[in-house]
This record gives sequence, C-alpha cells and structure tokens, in this order.
Amino acid sequence: MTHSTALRSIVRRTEVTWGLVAAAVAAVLPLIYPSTFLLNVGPQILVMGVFAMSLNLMLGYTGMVSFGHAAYFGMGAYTLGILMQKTAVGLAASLVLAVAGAALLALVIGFFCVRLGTIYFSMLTLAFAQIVYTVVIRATPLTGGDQGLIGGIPVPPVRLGPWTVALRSPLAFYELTLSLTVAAFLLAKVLVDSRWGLLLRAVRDNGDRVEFLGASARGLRLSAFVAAGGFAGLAGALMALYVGGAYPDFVYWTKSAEPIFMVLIGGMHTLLGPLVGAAVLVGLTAVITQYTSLWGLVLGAILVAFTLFLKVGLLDFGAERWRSRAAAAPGNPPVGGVARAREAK
Amino acid sequence: MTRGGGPLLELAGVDAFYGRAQALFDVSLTLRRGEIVVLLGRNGAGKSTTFKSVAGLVTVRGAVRLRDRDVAGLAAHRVARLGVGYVPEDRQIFPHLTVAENLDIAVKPGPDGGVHWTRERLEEIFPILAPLRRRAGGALSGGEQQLVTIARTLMGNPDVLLLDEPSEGLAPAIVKALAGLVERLRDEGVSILLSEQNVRFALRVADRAYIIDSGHIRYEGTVDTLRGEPEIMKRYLAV
Repeated sequence: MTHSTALRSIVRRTEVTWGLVAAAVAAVLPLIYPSTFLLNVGPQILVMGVFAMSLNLMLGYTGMVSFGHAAYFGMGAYTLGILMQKTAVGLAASLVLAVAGAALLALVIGFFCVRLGTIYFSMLTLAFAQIVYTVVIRATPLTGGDQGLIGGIPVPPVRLGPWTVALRSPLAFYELTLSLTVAAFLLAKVLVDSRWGLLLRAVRDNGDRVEFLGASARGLRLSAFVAAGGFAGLAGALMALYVGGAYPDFVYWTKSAEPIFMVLIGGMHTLLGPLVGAAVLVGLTAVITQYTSLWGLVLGAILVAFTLFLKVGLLDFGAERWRSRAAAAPGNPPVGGVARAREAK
Repeated sequence: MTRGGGPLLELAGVDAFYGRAQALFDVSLTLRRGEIVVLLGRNGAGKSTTFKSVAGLVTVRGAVRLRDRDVAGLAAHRVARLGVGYVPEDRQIFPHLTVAENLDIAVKPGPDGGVHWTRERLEEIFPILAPLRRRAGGALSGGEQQLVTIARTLMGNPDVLLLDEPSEGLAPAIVKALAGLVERLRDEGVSILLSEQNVRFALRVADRAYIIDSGHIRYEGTVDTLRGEPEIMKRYLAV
C-alpha cells in the first residue's frame, strides 16, 4: 500500500469542509428534487457509508483487515430491532444501546483477535462473525431465526420542539440518517485527528515501534476494534430502521465484504473515501439492477477496472492529483516528498 | 570524567535468551544520572541484545533495575512508561507520519511527571527539524531519520536514553554533528547508554566504557583509561 503523508495533510484540512458541503447539498437535494429513487437509495448509501467508514478505522487507519465486520453491524441491527419490537425502549435509547451493544461485542471478540496479526487476525474475525451468525440463526425466540425480525419495527413519531416528525416518511428518515451520518463522520474525524488517531497510524506502520513510546500496540488495536464496532452498530441500527427489521443476512460473511469493497473504491486514507465508495457501489447497484439481472457481472467488471487501472481509491486518487498540481504551482514549496517516501520504501 | 550519583540503571548478572539460545552471559553494568556510558563491541557481540534486555524485548534472567525498581520481564511499553527511551539501531521512524507527527505522537511526561522536552526545545537543539516539519518520515535521509528518532524519544521525557549504534551507516560529517548533539544532550543532563562500533565517536562523547564480546562483559573503565589500553582495544575492537 502506497501511503502519502502530503496527501493526507491536504485532505485533512479540507475533509471536514468538503464533508459538510456535501451534507448540505444532500440535505437540500430532496427538497428541491423529491425523487423516490433518491429517498430510497440515499439512506442506503448513508448507512453503508457509515458501515464502510467504521471499517476504515481498522483497515485504513490501523492496518487491520477484518473479514467479520458484519457481526457488529448485525449486533446493532438486532439490538435496535429487538428493543423497539419487544420492549418500550424509545428510539434514541435504542440507538445508543445498539451502538453500546456492538461496541461491547467488539470488545469481547477484539480481545482475542488483536492478539494475532495479518491473515490470522482476519481469519479469526471471520470465524467469530460466523459464530455470531450461527447464534442469530439458532436463537429463534429472540432473533426470529432464519426469518429474522419480521413484522416491522414500530417507530413512534419524534418530537423536535414544536414539530412532530413521522419517521415513516421517507424524507424524514432520509434527513435523520443524514444527520446521524454527519454526526458519526465528525466524531470519527475528531478521533482520527487526535493523538489516538496518530498512534493508530503508527501502529499500522509498525506496532513494535509504538511500544517504545510507552503505548500498548495491542491496546490501541483493541480500542480501534471497539470504536469501529460501535460505528458499525450505528450503521446496523439505522439499516434495521430503514428496512423495518433485522435479518441473518446482516451478519453473514458476505455482508463483511461490502464495506471492504467500498473502502477500496472510495479510498482508505480518509473518512470520506468510504462514504464515496458506498455512494458508488450502492448507487451503481441500484441503477444497474434496473437494466440487467447480470448486475453482479457489471459490478465485478467495474471493481476489476478500479483495481487494475486506478490502483487507489477515488478520493485518494483525486487528492494526489490535487497535491501534484499544488506542488507544481510556481512559488509553492514542496509539501511532503511523497516520491522520496516511496523510494525510501 | 565520571559523573556522580547512585546507579540510575543497573544490570546485574543478566542472561538473555532468543528462544533457547543464550545471547548474554552474566552481564553487569551501571549507568549513573547525567552520565554517558558506551557499550563497545564488534558486530554480534551482544550490544543490541543488552539494550533489548533493558527495553523488554528479550527474555532475561537476572536483574535489570531502573531507579532500584526491577524492570526485567516487563513489556516494552511498560518499560518505556517507567522512563526508558529506546532508539533502536534501525532508526525506527514512522515513515508515513510527518516529522511533526513523529514528534507529537511521542509526547508524554517523564516518570516524575515533569516535561523537560517540548517540540520547541527540541527544534532549538536540533535546528534541522524545523524546516522538515511537514516532510514525510520516509522521505528523510538516514541522518535526518536518526535525529528525528532521537528527538521523538526525548519527547517522552525519559530518564534514560538508550542509543543503539546511532552512527551506523551515517556519513562522517553527520557522525560529527551527531557527536555534538550527544554532547549537548549530556550538558542538558540526559543519561545515555550508548552502543557503538565507531570507537572514535564513542570515546569522544562517553564518560565510561564497557566492552562486550560473545555476550560477556570483558572490560569496564573510564574512556581515559581505555585510551591507554591499546591491547584491549586491539583484541576486542580490532582498533
């Protein structure tokens, strides 16, 4: 993996600005152009974007490749679904408990996984996710087993000051999902730009070196694992709200692959990259399935093209081009020495 | 010149092992506060293993005492928190972090809670750092990387600085600058345990010297005394 410090420093300064501009456009767009397609696909993009962003805390920032991230997505979905379907717990509390439940599950599973490195770590995350899947299938009285939590999730109207908002309205749900996505993005941004975030990137470079700084590499890996699990839980809870239930597919291993593709398409050096990847993958899927039943073939070809020709994610590619132009402008000092960094590797 | 005070760092009868293979045999040495002690020896003599024994990176038997506290067998990050700053021989810079980030990441108060070193102070002592702030660690020259690694370690305000072969692979002009820097650090009161193959560099900066060979300590004395022992220098250091 080629990594660019200059790229990152440029992106860091502008990522929040771009993120907020994109969010503002996304918030206004359905008011101007109330398309059913947008209100259907938009929440899916946002939810999967949060899911992919959560994975990127591990994949891009800490260098841990998880093949079992769906476990926490599913945990969030089932926690919210069960609480709202079977108890009197309200929406806000259910969302918080879904995030907490997913983070707790990540703490337990991560405790074992972070002891291993490379492919063994990845395989253990997959194994644990399959255990979670089996539990979901077998715990029929609680989870609905193969059928999932069918029957819908009752979502009472939400009071916002003088207004009462019915979240069953596609527009209201779209705006709620967008607000929570922005909140998740900003929180994640604060985290990755903190010293903790720097230490995660240092762990990605070399965990042993981090130990010499007095920090526990294993502890840092575990903290990233838990944070990623919590954000994935939020995504799962929102998906359960969106589809009105929670299903074993949410926990199945193929679900773990989706955010990996999104991160690879959007770019792994930013938080916005996975959101862009989710927009590309979910958006393309929605469009292509309207025209052909062979959508998997088309998507596969696109992924192959990305891998062979672009070699980096979309945002990483764009930011690197931008950096090159900025560096080439007369009077601008070099900002990072990326080429030398590559040569040094 | 030998500096005063009781031992800040003490190895007493240390054996070290890589798996079942023993690499150090009954190694004993001391470092007093404010002192620079050099561990001399040929390649493979056991210098790096001695440092790793202190830093918590190899299995040891015997006592490794830091301010009279036995730290043998502690994990590397716990040893670091207790005040040992380790600069390994392979200049372990974080290549994808900028120089500023490499320094900021290491900020922590010393074991006594004090903050002696800040980025500003280090940039004053290492003037080369300031213009490199935004440069990627991996884009630095070997000498620059070495300085950044030392500066980064100091940001953790260690009681003891372990410098493992800092001059290795550096151009003579850089080695000279590095010697000046080590002397400056001594003037700042930093206690340094140094390992070197470059005898000229070592004898210039150190107060006392140990010679290690095949995992055994063969000589202990002041550098002035060692200078007057050409036989020992020739036998163990090929000088």
